[in-house]
Amino acid sequence: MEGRRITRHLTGIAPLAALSVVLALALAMMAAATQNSALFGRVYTLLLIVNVAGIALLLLLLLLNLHALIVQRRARVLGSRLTLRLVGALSLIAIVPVFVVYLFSLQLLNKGIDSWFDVRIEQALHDALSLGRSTLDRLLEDLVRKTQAMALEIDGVRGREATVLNDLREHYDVFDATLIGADGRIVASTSHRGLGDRAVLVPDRPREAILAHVRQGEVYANVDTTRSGLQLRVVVPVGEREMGAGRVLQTLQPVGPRYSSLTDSVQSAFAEYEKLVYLRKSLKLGFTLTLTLVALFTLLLALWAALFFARRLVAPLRDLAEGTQAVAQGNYRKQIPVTSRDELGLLVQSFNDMTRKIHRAQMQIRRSQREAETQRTQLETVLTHLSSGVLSFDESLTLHMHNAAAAQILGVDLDTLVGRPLAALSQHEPALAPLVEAVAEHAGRDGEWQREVTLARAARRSIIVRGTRLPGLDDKPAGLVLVFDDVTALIQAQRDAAWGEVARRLAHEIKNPLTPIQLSAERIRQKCLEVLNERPRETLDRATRTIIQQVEAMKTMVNEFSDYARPLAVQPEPFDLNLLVRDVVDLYEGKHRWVAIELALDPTIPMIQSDPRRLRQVMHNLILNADDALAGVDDPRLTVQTRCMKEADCRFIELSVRDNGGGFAPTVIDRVFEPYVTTKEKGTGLGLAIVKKIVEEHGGAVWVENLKPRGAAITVRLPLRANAAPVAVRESA
Amino acid sequence: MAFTMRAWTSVDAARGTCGARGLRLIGWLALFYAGLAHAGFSIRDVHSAIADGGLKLDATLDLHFDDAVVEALDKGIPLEIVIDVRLLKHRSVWWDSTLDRWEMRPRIQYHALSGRYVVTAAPGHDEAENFDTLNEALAYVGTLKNLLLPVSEKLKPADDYRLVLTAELNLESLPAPLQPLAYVSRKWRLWGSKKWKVGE
Repeated sequence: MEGRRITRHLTGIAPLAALSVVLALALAMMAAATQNSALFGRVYTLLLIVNVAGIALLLLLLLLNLHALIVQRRARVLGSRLTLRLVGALSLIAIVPVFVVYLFSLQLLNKGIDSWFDVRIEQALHDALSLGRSTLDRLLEDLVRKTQAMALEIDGVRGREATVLNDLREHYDVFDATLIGADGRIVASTSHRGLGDRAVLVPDRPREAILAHVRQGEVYANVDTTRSGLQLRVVVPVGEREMGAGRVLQTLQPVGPRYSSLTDSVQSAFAEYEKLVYLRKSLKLGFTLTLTLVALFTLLLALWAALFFARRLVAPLRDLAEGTQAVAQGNYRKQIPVTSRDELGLLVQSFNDMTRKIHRAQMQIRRSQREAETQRTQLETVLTHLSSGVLSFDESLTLHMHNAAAAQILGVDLDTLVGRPLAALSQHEPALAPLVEAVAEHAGRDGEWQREVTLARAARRSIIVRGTRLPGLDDKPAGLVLVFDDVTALIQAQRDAAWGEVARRLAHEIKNPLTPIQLSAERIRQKCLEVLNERPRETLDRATRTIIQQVEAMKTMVNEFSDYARPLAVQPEPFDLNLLVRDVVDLYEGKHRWVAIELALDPTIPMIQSDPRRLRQVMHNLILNADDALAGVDDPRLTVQTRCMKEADCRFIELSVRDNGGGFAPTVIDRVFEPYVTTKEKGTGLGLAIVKKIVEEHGGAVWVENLKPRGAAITVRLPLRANAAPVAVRESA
Repeated sequence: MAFTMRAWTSVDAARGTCGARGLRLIGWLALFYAGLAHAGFSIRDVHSAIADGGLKLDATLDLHFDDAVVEALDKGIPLEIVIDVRLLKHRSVWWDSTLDRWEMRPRIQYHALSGRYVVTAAPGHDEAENFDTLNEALAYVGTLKNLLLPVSEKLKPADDYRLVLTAELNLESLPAPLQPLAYVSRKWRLWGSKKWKVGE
């Protein structure tokens, strides 16, 4: 990633800023140099190079930046499109005016430079130069004449050349005169200059070329430019000699101060103008170049500034876009840094606030959901463990929810019926028809309702159903909920209680007249039996015996009723059940020898805490019942069995009485413990009812079952410790 | 022949005129010096010998000006030629070390009024000279006869010394607007150089 790092550095602010400063300085210096200032003149080219290189570098950096931007745009980087658009717009705003000004300036420049040059001035200068030249020519001509005259006069002079020369010089008013011999050596030299002048000691010799030229017989006359100004130089041959030899005479005459200053001014003006004319093109070029560079530089700076500001402006927008994307994907925790104080900064702050609030709300919702979930779970647990059955229906009476107790009470698998209409309940299980009817009847009504419903089963079950409407959203009906309890046992107990009450009262009422009747009958026997004759005595005897017997029987019956009805006070004491069983069986051994009684007593059963009198009664009733069942049976056998319930850690003892009689009839077997249920012609049918009562009051249970191949068994299960509280609800005795 | 300090510039061996000269070199390099330099000047008939007080030098420089350069001259632009002479001690293994250096800057200018070319600061000459034609002027400038170059330390005749003579048209002396063109144009990049052994 080194390349990218480098690119990043290159596209940063620092290099551009540094470069811009350097370029600005360089351009300024170049502009000054174009004015031909001596200081900058020397470094003009260098400055030019620096400027061009700098601008090229700047251009390169800008292109790099732009390229990076375009790459980002292609890669669909967030914010790149906007940046590019901004850069484009700003660039256009920058380029157009600069371009216009540039073109205009260029025009102005060219026109300005052109205005320096006037044809007339040029002509005038040329004319002045010609005038100057002609003046100089005239002066030269004059000097040539003088020199030639001097040459004539000095020709032939030998030995006194210096003196003669000097005289001649003074005579002709020539500044400097030098006579050069045929061998090239100076013969004589005289000068107007003072002794202090160096030239006196070293006379000004003409060049060899000039001498050669003159020795050929030609006259040399020319204007020399010297340090001290213009100087006329004339070299003439002296005397007519053969070619290639002979003496020459040179005269020097500086142009007079008056002429000198004039010619100088003409010369300098002309030279300057000519130079300017010559440099016109390159001058224009130079200025144009400077202008172009400045314009380019300004343009590039503007572009760079455009890039910079576009990037800075778009940065928060890009952050915002990223933020919204994050929010769209469900991430509400993203916060964007606030980098400016303007409206964008405000926008970013608002965004941050918004996401914070959303996040908080989300957390809140989650928490609420969790709470709702927890509560729902709790409710489910409660419902599951409720002993009452709960069914809920929606507004179209479709089964929505049920609990385990409901399925158990109704005796159907409710899982299969979820989502089915109410009617499906009775379709699936016809016994539930009364329930369905009850619900349908009350479904339309508001408020709570309660009904007792009997399920039409072989084993009749009564349930109390309570129904109520479920509150829905916006007061719309949202179905109903049923709560029902199995009150069969309850009703049974109530019935038992009622029976008991009736029995008690009846017994009480009937008992009262019985004793007087018995007594009266006995009285009659006592008083009238001896007095009467044989036939009437027999009749009286039989009749009164009958009355007494029957009354006795009625007393017994009434007493049994009283037993049944009387609330028993259980007085538990510890005793051995086996012992009790043996006692009771012994009593019957004698009486019913024709029924074989077998004992199968578990010796390991512990002492039972119970009421022995009541249990004795239970034993009696059970044996009597078995006896009755074995009437008319071949090989009647009766078995009494006790055992300790190992599966319950001997917390319960089971006592069972079996016979091999005919067994219980199917119609009777469910109701065998109800009072007055009997198959015997005589008998009250209360025996087993009393057994059940006593057993339940001890906190135990009793049931019957038919045996195979024949016979029946009645089993009593008793806890080791009897419950003091009675099972059924009764009035206090 | 006598000469004055104005005819040449003695430069210390160790130091050059850095600054502008160095920058100029960079400038030349940047403009692909090697490709653009036009060897318009040629140097011949060189001879040098160790003499009392220094080195004696004879050389002939053929300075040919391109038409464009002549035009500029005729329009009044003064031209300066830089003649640079360097004395090197030859070493077999390493580069030669520069012992001494001299620089001469003759100038040629066209004088419009007289119609003649004025040469100032010609090597070995003190006074200015005027010529009717440019060729005469250039021939005058290019003729180095018995030029005495003073040396800072005594030269041993037994040692191997080399001389490098370089002549080039000084573009820096041109007016600023002309310089860019001159640097870029082949016509203006006039230059010549020769290296030989002292004593030959």
